[in-house]
Amino acid sequence: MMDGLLQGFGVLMTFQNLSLCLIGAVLGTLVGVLPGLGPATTIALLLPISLKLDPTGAIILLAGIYYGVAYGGTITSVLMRIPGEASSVVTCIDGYAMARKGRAGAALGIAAIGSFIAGTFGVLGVMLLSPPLAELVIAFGPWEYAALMLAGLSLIAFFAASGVAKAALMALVGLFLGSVGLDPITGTSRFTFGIPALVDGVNIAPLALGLFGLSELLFLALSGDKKPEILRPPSTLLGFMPNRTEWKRSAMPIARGSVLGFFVGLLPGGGAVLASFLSYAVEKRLTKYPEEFGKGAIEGVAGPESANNSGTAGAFIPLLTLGIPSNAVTALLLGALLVHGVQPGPMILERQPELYWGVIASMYLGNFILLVLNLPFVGFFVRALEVPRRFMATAILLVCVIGTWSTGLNHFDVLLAAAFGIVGFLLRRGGFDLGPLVLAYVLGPTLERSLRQALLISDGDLTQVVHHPIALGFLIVSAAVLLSGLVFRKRPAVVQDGGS
Amino acid sequence: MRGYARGVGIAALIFAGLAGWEASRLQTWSPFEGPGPGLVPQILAVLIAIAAIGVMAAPGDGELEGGEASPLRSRCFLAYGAAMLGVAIALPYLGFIVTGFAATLLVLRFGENRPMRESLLWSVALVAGVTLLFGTALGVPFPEGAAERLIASFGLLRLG
Repeated sequence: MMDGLLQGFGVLMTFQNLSLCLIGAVLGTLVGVLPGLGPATTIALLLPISLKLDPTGAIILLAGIYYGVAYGGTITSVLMRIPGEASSVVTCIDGYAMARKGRAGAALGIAAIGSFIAGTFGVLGVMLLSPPLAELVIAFGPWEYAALMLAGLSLIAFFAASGVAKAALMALVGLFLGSVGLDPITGTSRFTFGIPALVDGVNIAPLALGLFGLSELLFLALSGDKKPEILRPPSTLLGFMPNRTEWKRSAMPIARGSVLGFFVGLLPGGGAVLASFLSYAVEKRLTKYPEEFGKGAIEGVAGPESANNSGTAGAFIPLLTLGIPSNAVTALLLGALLVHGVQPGPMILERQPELYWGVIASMYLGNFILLVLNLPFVGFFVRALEVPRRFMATAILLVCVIGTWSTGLNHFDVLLAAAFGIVGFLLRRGGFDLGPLVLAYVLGPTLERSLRQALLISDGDLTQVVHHPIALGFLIVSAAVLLSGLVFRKRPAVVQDGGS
Repeated sequence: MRGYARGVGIAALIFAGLAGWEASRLQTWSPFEGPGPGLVPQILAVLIAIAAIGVMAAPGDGELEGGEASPLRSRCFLAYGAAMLGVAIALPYLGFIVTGFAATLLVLRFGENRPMRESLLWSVALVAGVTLLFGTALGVPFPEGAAERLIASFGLLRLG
């Protein structure tokens, strides 16, 4: 393992990869600061640029954005009570209350330090758990794979804020979109309507840029150009240091948030958002100062902020070792890898160790960069909020257009992106999560291939699944999750990751 | 929100019908190759129809994202929407630079109601920035238009 990590640092220590790690972390923090622009939108916008890089460089850049966002979202939550990103929603409650009491520096400081500790813990977890999990998954056959993906999609539908029916509809439409193009087994053309650009299927760039980038543009157009009220951050580094009591009260929430967030991050549909909400609930229950919750309790900042960072790291395990993304952002990361010809999964450690360990090493460095960046440059990041909407929105429009064009070099993709932009806007307006759609679209071809291979082996006999206990277990989990989601519709809603 | 979500459910039901009809032309099972290319799409079409009915039955509560007012009454929204569609349609004929410039100018001048001078300055700066970043620095081939051909003749751009 140490050899692998050293290899990873060897890969990372090139000028290009170090720069990409830094750019990703800074961009991620900026995106986290800007309300509305989520990680999914930004990764979608940068997807075409990442295609110009080698796969390792591309994933280092995009991963940097993903974990940078979790840091950046805190700043606006604490200083403005506006979550820059969904995983920072819960920090608004006590973080902003602390800021109103003149403890903005302590809230930002403990969030940054907790995030660093949790992020590092999460990366350690990824490093330790991925290899044994990959060994286990190598034994999976088509039945197991198909059932695992169904279980993943069911969990995503269960956790979606929009409810099971809406999320399931989105996931099914995503699966259908994934089936457009040449059938991978027989070579038959499906749903292409004689359009050459559709023969290879719907490309991820028009889908992602349309659903996330252009739909965001339309929402920006609807929102007013209001000047937000921003509480001032401390001007010196010392101003960010929590006092003795605050340190003492934060230690256990950071530890609990790190562990809880990591394991929640492993779940499909889990990730940073669910992790932060659960951590807040746990801290509220365990605190010795329940009367302070909602009025500036530091535990309400330390726990969730730690949890969302380790949750972000945890989400890399299913992505890298199973090839299964757990949310919209990791689905886009998977899409980027697939475009590069990299198939994440249990064999990645053997076939592309430089990519795997390079990403792990970049996560260590990225966490450190974010700690260094977060405190001294808060003022700079806050200034990004003063960029008028019109400049941001027109830039998104042109970047989406040229980004879509650049991946397929055909006009049809640009038209498709515009159509997805309108569809994405209409769906989001009606409270539909776009995350399950993109996730299912990315998983669709693998799910279909596994299912058809399983049916071929068993001569079309679905009952053969009983001879595959792991697959059967996954199917039972899927059914239980979907049924409970439909029966207990009044459970607390959790926002879907991805800025959607 | 409820009526709106139900509308999406109806649209999904129509989509399922069309998808199922198109998928029914594909082979579902082959005696030699087993499951055919139509099997999964046909199953999906049925499941989409069921989920669409589920959405219509339980559309959920809450406000519409972006507010209850119709977006079609917002001049700014219409300008951005028109710019988005306009660029997508005009790109094959005019290239990226002219369409991008015109779309930005339209949005700023008529959608955002900004002064002509500011609109012009930002449109030029933005198009130049995107062209230099994507075209010159990253080497992305640009869609062909008169402006692209001119810049390409100086070796600063590749045409797609």
